Amino acid sequence: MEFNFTDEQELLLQSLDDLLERECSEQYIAELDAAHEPPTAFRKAMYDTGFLSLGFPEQYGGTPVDAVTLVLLAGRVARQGLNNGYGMELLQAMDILEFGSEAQREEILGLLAQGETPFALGFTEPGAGSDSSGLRTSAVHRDGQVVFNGTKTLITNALRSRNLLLMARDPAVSGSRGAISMYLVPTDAPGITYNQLDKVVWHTADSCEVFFDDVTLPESCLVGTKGRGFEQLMRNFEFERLVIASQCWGQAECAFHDAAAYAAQRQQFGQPIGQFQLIQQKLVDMAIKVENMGNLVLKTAWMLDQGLDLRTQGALCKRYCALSAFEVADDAVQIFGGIGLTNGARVSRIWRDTRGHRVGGGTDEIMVHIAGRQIVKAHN
Amino acid sequence: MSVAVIFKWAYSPADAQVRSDGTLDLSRAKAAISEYDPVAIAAGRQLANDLGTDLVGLTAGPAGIDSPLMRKAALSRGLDRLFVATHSALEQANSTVTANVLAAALGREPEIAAVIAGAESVDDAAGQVPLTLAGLLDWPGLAGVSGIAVDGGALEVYRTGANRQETLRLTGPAVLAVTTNAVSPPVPGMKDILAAGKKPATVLDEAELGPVTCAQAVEVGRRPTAVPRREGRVLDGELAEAVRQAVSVIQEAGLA
Repeated sequence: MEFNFTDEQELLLQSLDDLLERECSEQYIAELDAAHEPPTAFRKAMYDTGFLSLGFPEQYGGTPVDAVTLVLLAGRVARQGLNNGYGMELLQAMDILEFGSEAQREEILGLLAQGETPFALGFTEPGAGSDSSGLRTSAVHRDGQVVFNGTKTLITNALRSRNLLLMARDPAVSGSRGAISMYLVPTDAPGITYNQLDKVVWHTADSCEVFFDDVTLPESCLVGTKGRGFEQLMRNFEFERLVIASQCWGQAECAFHDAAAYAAQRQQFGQPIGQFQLIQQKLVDMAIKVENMGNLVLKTAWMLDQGLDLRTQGALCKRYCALSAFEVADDAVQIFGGIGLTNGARVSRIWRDTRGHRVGGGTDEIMVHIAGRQIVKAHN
Repeated sequence: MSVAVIFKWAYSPADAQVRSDGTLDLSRAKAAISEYDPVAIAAGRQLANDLGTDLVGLTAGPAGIDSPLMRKAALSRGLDRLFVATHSALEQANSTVTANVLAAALGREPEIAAVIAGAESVDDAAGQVPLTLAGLLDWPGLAGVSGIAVDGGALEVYRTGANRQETLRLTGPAVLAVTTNAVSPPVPGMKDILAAGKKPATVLDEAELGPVTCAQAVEVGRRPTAVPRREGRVLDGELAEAVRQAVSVIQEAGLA
């Protein structure tokens, strides 16, 4: 078993470190978080240096790369303390590059090149989240046009994106199979209105309720095959869980290092608090979790590269990393004490953001549901 | 005709630990291109483009210096090809020996428009090698170069000092040590790193370079100079109380 990085990974991480130092300082991230702004300038720099097109097919100007390298990079960006800083764009682009029309591909790649968020995923509804069969937003095809009606909720980046990757069902088809299609819908299309939700996590991305009232668009907004939208979306869900897990790993590492450094200098009762065994125990347990997260993320990425089935592994990885990252961040806040509860402390932001990952991309409980079924099935 | 860049494969300062006595612990430091040299490579790339020539890199060290990682790290930054000069005299290198080995290696390149170097190395920080090399080559040597331009068949070199800005015209080859902000070096991406593995690198060993016969300054001792310890203190309480504590700390330290 080889734990060393390849030369290429080593050099790529060095390049990324240089870029993070120049374009993504701790202060920059804190300012984005306070202003509720996305990291557009950093994303632009990532695109300009080729990081954002890693994993894209070469015909679209990308550079093929393995999943292990991608999660290493995603983890490193997250270790800077930036939530959702890397990896999600690739996932988004892959949906369009794989299934979209040439015009849709051009538009999405152009937006990525400008550092923009190319689209927001319009999936969750008041009655449909983990349970996709409850999806009610309708798409009625008529005379070369599609008419959308319904409500989406908790749509991340809806206000900052030019498009919604909308999942909607044909009301004439009963059940879920063959009913749900994927559409690329401009966010400024007539009939779409927004209600921004004031959430406590992920301040660098907005979240909205989105209302569709007879939104009428040409049928060319369909992405891929009519009725195959859910299958198309699911193609990248396991990779999405892996990317989220790698971000949790990086954020946990950031919180751990901040806490360890603080414990080494913070004086109480005449000595650094790191000298107290109660604090040492926290740091040791945090270190074990960070190490485990890294191993699980890299093993899962390796499995993806080998073409192995990720249904169980992906869910185990996402659940463990989301849960453990939050525990590490929580212990980091505890070590910081009162300062850890202020907005100026990076650990408080990581605490907030890692909490979001226990819900986004599939809740802890859904991960149990996915992996649990597979484990029982495998032992039956 | 080519432009040459000399660079050092040294430790990464990001991995260095400072011991309590002020000395550096490099046992866990990874090797990397000396942090002043990426700007030299970028400046060299710009000049080579302006002249329409190749950019060749040159580094020197003991035999162990050559590695696939070192080659890719250098070549991914924009070099077209690379010379790696290895010599046993560089086991205990000082700037004079290093400059002699570099001069011998540069003799392999038929026509050089200029040799570009960083301001200093990350470890010794003496800034002596470029100018010693210039002396050995019998070329002009200029440190503190903040810009280089091509004007007809000549080079225009800009230097900015504390109270002056100079423009110098060079009609022949020279060794130019560039300042840290002469250009902004690009960050190598995956395409650059993958392409680096396919670029040519030539190892020049001791047999090809010949013996180093120069008189040497041999280091017989080294100790850290006393550096005032920087103490970090975290102040508690409300703002007014924290300010009172800060004033007290400053007064106790005799700073006010």
